[in-house]
Amino acid sequence: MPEKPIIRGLNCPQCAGALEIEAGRAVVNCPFCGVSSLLDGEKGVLRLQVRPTVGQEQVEAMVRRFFLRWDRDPDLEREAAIRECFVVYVPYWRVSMRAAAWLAGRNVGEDSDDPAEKTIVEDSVWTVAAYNASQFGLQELKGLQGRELEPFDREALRQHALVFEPETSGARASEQAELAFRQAAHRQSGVTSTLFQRFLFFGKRLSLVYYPLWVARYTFRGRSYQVVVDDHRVVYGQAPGNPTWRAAILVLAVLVGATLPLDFLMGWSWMVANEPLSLGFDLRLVESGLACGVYYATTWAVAWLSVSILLAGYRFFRFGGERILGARRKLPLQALWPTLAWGLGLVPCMILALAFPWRLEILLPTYALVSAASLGLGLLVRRRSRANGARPEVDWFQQPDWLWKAQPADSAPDDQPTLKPLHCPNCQTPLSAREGEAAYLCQGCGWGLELVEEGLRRIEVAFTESLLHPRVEVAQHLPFWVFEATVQVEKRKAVEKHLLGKEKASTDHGQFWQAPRQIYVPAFDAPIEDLKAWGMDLTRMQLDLSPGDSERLEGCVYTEAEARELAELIFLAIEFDKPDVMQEIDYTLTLTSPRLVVIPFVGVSK
Amino acid sequence: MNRTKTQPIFQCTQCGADLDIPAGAVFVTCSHCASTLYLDRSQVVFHYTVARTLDAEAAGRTLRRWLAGGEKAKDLDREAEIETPVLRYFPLWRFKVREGEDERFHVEPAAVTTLGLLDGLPIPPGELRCYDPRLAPYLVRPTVPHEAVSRWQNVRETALVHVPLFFFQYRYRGQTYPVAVDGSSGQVFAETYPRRWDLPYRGVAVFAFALLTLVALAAYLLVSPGSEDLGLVYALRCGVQLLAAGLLFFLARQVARKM
Repeated sequence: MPEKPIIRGLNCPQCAGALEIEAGRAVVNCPFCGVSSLLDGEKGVLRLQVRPTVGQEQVEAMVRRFFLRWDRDPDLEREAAIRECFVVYVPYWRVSMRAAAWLAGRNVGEDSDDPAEKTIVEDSVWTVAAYNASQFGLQELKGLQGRELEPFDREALRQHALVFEPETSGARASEQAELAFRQAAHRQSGVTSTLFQRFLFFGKRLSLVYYPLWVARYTFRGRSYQVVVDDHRVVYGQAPGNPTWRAAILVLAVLVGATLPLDFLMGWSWMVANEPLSLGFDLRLVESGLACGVYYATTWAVAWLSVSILLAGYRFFRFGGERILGARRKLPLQALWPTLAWGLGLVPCMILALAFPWRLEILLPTYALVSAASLGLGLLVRRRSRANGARPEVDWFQQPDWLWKAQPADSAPDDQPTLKPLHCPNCQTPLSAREGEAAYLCQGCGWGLELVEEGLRRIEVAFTESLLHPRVEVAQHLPFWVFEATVQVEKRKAVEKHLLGKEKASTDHGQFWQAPRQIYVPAFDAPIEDLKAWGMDLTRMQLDLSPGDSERLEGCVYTEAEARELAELIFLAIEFDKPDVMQEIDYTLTLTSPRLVVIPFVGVSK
Repeated sequence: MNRTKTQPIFQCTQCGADLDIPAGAVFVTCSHCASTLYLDRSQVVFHYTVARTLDAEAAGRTLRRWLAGGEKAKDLDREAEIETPVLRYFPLWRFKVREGEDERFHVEPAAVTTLGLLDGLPIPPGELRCYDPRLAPYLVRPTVPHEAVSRWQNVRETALVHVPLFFFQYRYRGQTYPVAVDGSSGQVFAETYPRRWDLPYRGVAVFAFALLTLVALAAYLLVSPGSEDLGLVYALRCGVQLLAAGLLFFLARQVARKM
């Protein structure tokens, strides 16, 4: 097997001219001969950068304001000296994608049980730190939409800033983005008991965004502290605490924590036994099991509240010597175990309290047993041994520099990038391709060509007569993927709601899909809401357009594979758009004879 | 074994100019002829250092702040005798591994150390720079070959990353404690340190709780059932509690300041 080169020039395969290749792009155009080439294999990730919006003076002013907060040492403003202030560019994974969710089922509330369905379609952007953000306080970027993204220029940035490298996986960020959308969809949907759910993700693009953060370091009484500033706010900051506030908060917490349970017990004695301000009341005077249950529940709530206030006050007093803003404090699950189990102990006690009112001889041992068991389990989980195996001590290294690794050639990856010139497979005419576009017409022979990962593939392209549509304002040619769709609806359960709240099974069992239909999938770039509306409109109309003059094909951004996903989106959108409330749907969608149809639209405005 | 071969720099395949290989990038642009080149990173072991942002003095101040933290002994930052630190670049192996569609980073120590505090040391966030031979006197030599720790298939990139660490020792009450301060992010690594005595804090909190509970309880016990002076007793109780709270505040502030 020939050895693969370690470094290889990527020149134009047509004219050998030097090319400028941007990582993450699939199509490269030669500036000399004009031939487009497809980059096959490893492409890297598109890198972008964000310009800082604040200067050093503003950052220092923000740090000064940070000193003034109530829980900081009062001498901080006067004595602290800002020693240094510099910019770091930290990497974030940016996942932009088009996502759709359909959820159907019931919305079960305290005294309601209603049918519910929800369609969510959105162009979502998710940005998550690609480095260890614990000392920088900014795990996710939320307001990136308003900031301009520029191509990444490492050398220019290095003139005045430090540039960090990503240390986490992009695929992981991509999974997180999908998961975040799923969770948000469930939260928004109002469907508490899900009978049907479907999620579609397409057009996913992964890029790295280098985001500027200001790091300021100041000294106070011989100690050094760090503050991180983003845009116009402090996102992470260490500062010495204020002893006056620490003492005040402790005393306040103890005052509330000590008085609240006592006053609560006295209040109960007055309400239940009608003996004001007496500790010697006899709760057994009340025989109602319900009152007993309520008594237990409220006592527990007050006990929890008081203990929480006491602990929080003590923690602030004990550890408030240093305040840390924005640190991601990971509360380990193990630490929560005893508390969680203690809370769970309440459940059997409540049930027992209802069954055996005031039988403290049953209730107290039960709770003690549950608490002890859970505490034991919690401590067991907490005790995690960190085994670290011994490592061999080999002294084989010489002065390490750039190091070459002797590696068998066959273990080198087989996705080294290569440039393939794009020629029409029929007439060999070179194709002028544009990044992001998926379909073209050959200038030589008129063949329709689809650009997929493997190269160019012939597709059927049709042009129709012009059409007037209210969505189009100015005349334009819009491409659509059209599929012959056969839908087998195995099960469709939906209900209609009447004014009086009674439910009736819906009579629509998907008649629309009983005959084979043409699904129109927009192939041009538009917000996902518009794509959905276009697809639903044209599919419902089942147009029968006569062939028109052959025109040019432009702006087709979806491949046939992506269009298949979008076809399902349109099918589900039509089904969920019906006036009944969807409960469950089971279907098989078969899409055949795909073709790209270009419809010239006549604009409605002048 | 043909294990190492020193090659200071890569050359452009087009014009032969020396190339500067930035960390992370798949494509390299020749600064001389503007050609784009592809570097197969799986066949090379890179040698980087994490850029240092702290000097010895600043690292000392960072350590002082850490020593003054709430969990450390109360006078630790004042009493500890800190020795002059030693700057050492500690080696770590960083593997970028392709697992299906996913790419993951794994970090393993590249030198054996008796300091348990460096176990599980992550590569701190910082700028990765190509190794500069001028740093040679400060390097901790790697003693663990990457083959010994690499247990993954499909390693796409192997890098030796030297992390700047200031190794300090401080003496406190006759004992010597080792500690390392990361010269890039200022993170402090320590295995053991003298812990703070909790008793004064707990004492103040328990005393405050007992006193305030007692005041409230006394009010309830003193008043007879069905008494008409309910409002008066309640107001009196609140007054006494506030007075006690005031005294406790001064006590607690004293503890917060001195401890």
